[in-house]
Amino acid sequence: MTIKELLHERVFYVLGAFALVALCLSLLLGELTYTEQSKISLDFLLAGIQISNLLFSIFMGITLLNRELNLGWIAMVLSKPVSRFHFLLGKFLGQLSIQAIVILMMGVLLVALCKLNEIQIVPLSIFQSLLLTFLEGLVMTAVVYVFAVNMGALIAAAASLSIFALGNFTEGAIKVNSDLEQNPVWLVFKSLIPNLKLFNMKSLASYGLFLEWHQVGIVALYSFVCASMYFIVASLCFSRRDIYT
Amino acid sequence: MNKKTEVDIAIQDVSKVFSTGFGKKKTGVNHLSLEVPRGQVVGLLGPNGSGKSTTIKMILGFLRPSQGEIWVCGHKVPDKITRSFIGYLPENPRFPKFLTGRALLTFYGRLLSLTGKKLENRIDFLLDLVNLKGASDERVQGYSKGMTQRLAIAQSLLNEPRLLIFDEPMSGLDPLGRKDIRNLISLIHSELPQATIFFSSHILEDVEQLCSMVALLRKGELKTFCSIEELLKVEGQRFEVAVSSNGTQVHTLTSTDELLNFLNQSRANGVKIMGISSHRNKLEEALFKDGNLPLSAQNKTLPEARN
Repeated sequence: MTIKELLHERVFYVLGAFALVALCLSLLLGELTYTEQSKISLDFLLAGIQISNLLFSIFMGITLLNRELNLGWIAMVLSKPVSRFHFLLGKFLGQLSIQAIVILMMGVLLVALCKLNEIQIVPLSIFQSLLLTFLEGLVMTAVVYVFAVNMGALIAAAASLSIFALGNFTEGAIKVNSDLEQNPVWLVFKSLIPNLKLFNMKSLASYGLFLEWHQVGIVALYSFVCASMYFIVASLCFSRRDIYT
Repeated sequence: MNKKTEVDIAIQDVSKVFSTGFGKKKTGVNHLSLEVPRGQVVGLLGPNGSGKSTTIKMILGFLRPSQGEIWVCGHKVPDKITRSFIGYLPENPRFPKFLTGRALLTFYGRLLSLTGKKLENRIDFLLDLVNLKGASDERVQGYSKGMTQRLAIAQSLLNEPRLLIFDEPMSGLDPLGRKDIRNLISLIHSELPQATIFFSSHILEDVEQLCSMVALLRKGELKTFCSIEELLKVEGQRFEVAVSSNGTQVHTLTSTDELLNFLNQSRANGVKIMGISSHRNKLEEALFKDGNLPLSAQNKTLPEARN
């Protein structure tokens, strides 16, 4: 049902168009550089997929939940013997299925664009990079659900984007200021924010390098644990909130 | 845990307080206690803002009571098992517009663990019942308000519910649509005589025609809970007798005894009776006369309400 619903959403096609434009622009941007043109192009292409996937996570997640609550569809479902946890899980898994298909399609497009532009790629590194992008989407979608069940659409989108930014820059902040490692406030803050830097292997992939499979396994495990924790928080909040529709 | 199985809805000292921001609070439902016996058609009456929808949403587990507890068919809300007994029709039913009527019923049926031939047969039966068979393969997008309402009634009947909860089922419908839904509710009651129908409305005519019992809410408090007959008996029946004596005169009598006496006297005196008309109190008159409510719910127990 969630998949059917998403395929009938205008925002889905807007994001799809954005993803296409992002991929084409990435290629153009790469061509503007003087050195290592093909590597930079590939780096941009992978970044385009990552950004598109992030936008899918945020806007699809928020749209799915907000429509249910604002249009009152949820009343029909929750008046049946369906727990709120299962309702949310259905939405979450439906959305992830669509995201997996979208990443796969963008991956195919990326390979086709690289072939057309004679950019050398290593399939394994591209596959690993796309897999990590999907896992990052898994974590971000869970984060989006935490906000979407508690706040309005705009604030939820802004909060999710902030978490994405913080998740990518917490590692960097420690490099700049090593004293942060000792700061208990920072440690609490760091433990609440997912380390999204772990999912970024665009640079490796653009050089045709790849990770050992056990490293991918560890990152996958981290993403599952992290997403589960955020999802449980979202589900607890959702089970306690009043539904006025 | 089984408790209160002889009643389908047991509301025990339930209150709901809403936060309206900046520390301000508003009481939606105030210490409400109500027990709805099985097999009755109960109308929940009250003006806008009296707490009807809040009460229904708490029964369904959409809203959490600030105080008290609610039991449905012997199970405590919000246990999801309570909703397996319930068929619910919201005030403004809305469906994903890209699905057809049949696809929607299939989806809701699966949520109720109905599958295969059993589900198909049930859907066919219900589409026939609500007179939507011809439009079942059309997208809901093209349905009129009345058709949407009938589809919503069909989905509420998928699980052959023991308890039907309708929130303002006739709201927003034209007179013909209202008549359709009213007939449908009567039909459901005759088809499922064991099922309890609990519905909110502020259209008194509908309540008077459909309900066996009435609960009246005002400002979140239960003002009365009794049978329709009991409510209409307030101030009794009255009779108007037109007699021919120095022109036409109309006499108003307030009981059958009084009427019989008057007729006997008129006959004895040779007065000609031109006509007799009987007037029952309308529900509207009974409900909106403060102080005339027959029973105080706070002091009333369920068996009394049944009598």
